[in-house]
Amino acid sequence: MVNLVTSDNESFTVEKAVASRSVLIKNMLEDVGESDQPIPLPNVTASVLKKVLEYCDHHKNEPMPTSEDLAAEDTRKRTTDIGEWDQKFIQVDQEMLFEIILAANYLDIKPLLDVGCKTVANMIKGKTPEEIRKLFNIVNDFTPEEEAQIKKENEWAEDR
Amino acid sequence: MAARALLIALPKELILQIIGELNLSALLRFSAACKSLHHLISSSAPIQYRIELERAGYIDGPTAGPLTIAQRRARLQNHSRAWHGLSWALSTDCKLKLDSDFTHYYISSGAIAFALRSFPGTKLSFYEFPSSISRNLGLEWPFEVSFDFAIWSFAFDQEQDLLVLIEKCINGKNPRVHIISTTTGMPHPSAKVHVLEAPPVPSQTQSVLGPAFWLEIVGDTIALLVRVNDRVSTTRESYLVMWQWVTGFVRVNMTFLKYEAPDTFSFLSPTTFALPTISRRRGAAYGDKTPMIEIYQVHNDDTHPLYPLPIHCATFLLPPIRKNIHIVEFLGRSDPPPVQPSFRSQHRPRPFHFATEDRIFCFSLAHAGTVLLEPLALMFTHSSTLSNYAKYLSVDRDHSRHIPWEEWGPSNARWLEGDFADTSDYACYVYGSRFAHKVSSSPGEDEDDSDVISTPETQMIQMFDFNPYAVEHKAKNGNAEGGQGVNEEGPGKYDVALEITHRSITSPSVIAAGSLFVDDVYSALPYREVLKSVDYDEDFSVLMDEENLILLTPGDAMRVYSM
Repeated sequence: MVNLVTSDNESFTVEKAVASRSVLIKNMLEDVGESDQPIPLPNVTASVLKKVLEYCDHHKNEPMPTSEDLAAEDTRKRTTDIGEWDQKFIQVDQEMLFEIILAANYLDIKPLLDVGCKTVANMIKGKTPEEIRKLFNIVNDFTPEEEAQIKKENEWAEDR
Repeated sequence: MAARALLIALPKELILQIIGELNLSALLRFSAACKSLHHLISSSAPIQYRIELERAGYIDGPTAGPLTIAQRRARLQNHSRAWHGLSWALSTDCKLKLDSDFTHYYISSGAIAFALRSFPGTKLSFYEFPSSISRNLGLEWPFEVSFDFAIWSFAFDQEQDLLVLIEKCINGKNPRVHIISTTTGMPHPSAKVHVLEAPPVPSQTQSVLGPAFWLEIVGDTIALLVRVNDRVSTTRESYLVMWQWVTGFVRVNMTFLKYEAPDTFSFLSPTTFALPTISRRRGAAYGDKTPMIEIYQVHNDDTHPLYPLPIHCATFLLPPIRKNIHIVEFLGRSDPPPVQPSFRSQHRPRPFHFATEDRIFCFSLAHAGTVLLEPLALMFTHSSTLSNYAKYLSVDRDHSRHIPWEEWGPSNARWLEGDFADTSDYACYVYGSRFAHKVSSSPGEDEDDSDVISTPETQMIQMFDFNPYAVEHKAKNGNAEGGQGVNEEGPGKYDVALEITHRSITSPSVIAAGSLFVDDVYSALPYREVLKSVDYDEDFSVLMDEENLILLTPGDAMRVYSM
C-alpha cells in the first residue's frame, strides 16, 4: 500500500497498482524503494485527488501505455472518442474538470489528461466565438474592427 | 462568486493539447475568442502548418523525417502558391529514349513508365519526375526491364516495389498476371504466387479492337477490368476481378453482360469502389438510359468462398439521357489511389502528401453527336460525397439504395460541357482536387476569320480546382468585396504577375434539356478555373500528378512542369 498526502494535508492509502497509474508516483516509488514514507503531493487537493484515484482504481488492471503507443498517437489522426465509463466519470463541473486536467498533468497520467483535454475540446466544438467566451468566462478584448478582420480571415473554413 | 476564466489560465502546453483535439473550424473560432488565444494559435508554427496543410488538402508525412516544421511549411507554401497560379518552378524537357513507339504508359507516385514492343516481347522504360517537395531533380530510371512476352496492360507501385503485367494471350484463354519486383524485374519476393490466372478474355467476333483493360494497384489489392470492345454482341461477358496480391486470394469476381459492363472502376477507399454504368432497363422509371454510379464494398474476409461478389452499397443516379443519344463511353477517374498510410512513403519519403480521403471524381460521358464529333460532358463530384452517402446507407437499412439525382446531385456535383475530347484517352488528368487538360485557341478569335488561318494556335492548359478552400467566395452579407479576384462567370480575370486567367465559379450552371439530357440539369459544386498558355509547339496530352503537369507528345518527347 502507498500513502499519499495532499496539499490540504489529507492522507490517502491506496494499492500500489492504483497509485502507479501516475508515472510521477511510480518513479518516486522506484526511487525510494520499499518504504512506508508518505508521498507528499503539494499540487493536488484532497477533493481532486479523490476523483483522480477513482479513475486510477477503475483502470488499474489495464496495461500502461508504452512510449511506442504515445509516439504512434502523434502521427495517428486524433479521435475525440471517450470511453463510456470515462465519459460518466468526467461529467463534473468546470472547476473540477480543469483541476483534474492540471492534476493529471502534474501526476503524469497521460490517459486521464487525454480524457480531460478531449472533453474540453468537445465543449468548444460547434460553438461560435461568443458562445465559447460565455462558456469559459473569457473577456472579449478585441476591438470591433479586429474582430471583423479575424472573422473575415477565418471565413474560408466555416463551411467545414 | 465571480466566475473565473479557468481555461485560459491553464499552462500554454495544456491549451495547445486541447487545441490539438479540435477540428479546423472549431480551432479558428476558438482563436477568435480573445487576444491571448489568437496570439497563441497564430504564433504556433505547428498549428499554422496544420491549418495550411488542411487548407491545401494535404497531410503531414512521417514526423520522424529530417525536415523541421518551418522547412516543411516553407515547402508547402511554395507548392500551394505554384498550383494556385500554375507558376511552375521548373520546366524539364525530356527526350525519351524509346526505340519504338510506346504501346502503353502508366504513371504512379512520381514516375512514368512506357511499354514498348520489343519483338517478341516487351520492354519497359521508367522515368522519374522532378519533385520540389522532396528536392529531387528527377531522372531516367537506372534500368529498363524486358520480358519475352507481349502485354495487354501493366501497372506499377514503387511504394511496394510492385510491377504488374498482364500477358497477352489468344482470345478465350486465361491471361497470366505477373507479379514482379520493379527493382529487379524478377518475381516479387513477397508474392506467394508469382503468376495469377485471370478469367478467360471474352472472345469477340465483330470488332477489330482488342479487349480493353483497366488495371489498378491499391495497396494490397490488384484490380483488373476486362471489357469486350465489341459493341454488337449482347452475350459476351466482361469481368472485374480483384486479388490480394501477396496471397493470390481472389477478393472480387464480378461478371457483366456485354451491355452492362462498365468502362472503368475507381476506388473510393481501400475497400469500396465505384463503377460508372448505364442503366438500359427498358421502360424503367428513369427512361431508357440513366447513367449511374454504383458503389460496392469488397468483402474483408479472405476466407470467403472463391469468386466472391462484392456488397452493393449504393447507386447514385445521374440525370436521364435522351433516348436517341448513343453513349460511346462513360468513364470515371480519380487519383491518387486511396491507400492505407502503411503503404505510403516507404520508397521516397516526402514531408507531406495529398490526403487521399477526399479526391475529386471526374466522370466523362462521350456520345456520338449529329456530326462525327463526339461531344463530351464531364461531371465532377467529391469522393466524400459518394462515400458519406454509402456510409449513411449502411446504417439506415430502410433508405433506398438508389439515390435520385435531385437528392444528391445539384449541390454536390458540377456538369461541364465542352471540348474535352482529349480526356477520353487513358491519361492521368485528374489528381487530388484538380483536373487539367489542353485547350487550343487562335489568338485572333474575335477578329476576322481571314486573319486567323495563318496564325498558329495557342495551346493552353485549363485547370479546374475543386478544393473548397481554393474557391474565392463572394463576401457574405453585403460586406465590402475583398477585391482578390472575386469573379463569378464572366471571362475571368487576368493576373499580370502570374500570367494566368482565373475565376471562381460558385453559382449554379445549367445544361438545357434537349441536346443530351431529358431535363434541364442544374449543378452547383464550386470550383476555380485557371487558364495558362504554354509555349510548346508539339501536340500533347496533359497528365498530372501531385507536383507536375506532364505534357506528353505522341512521339518521343515529354515536357514536365514542376510546381
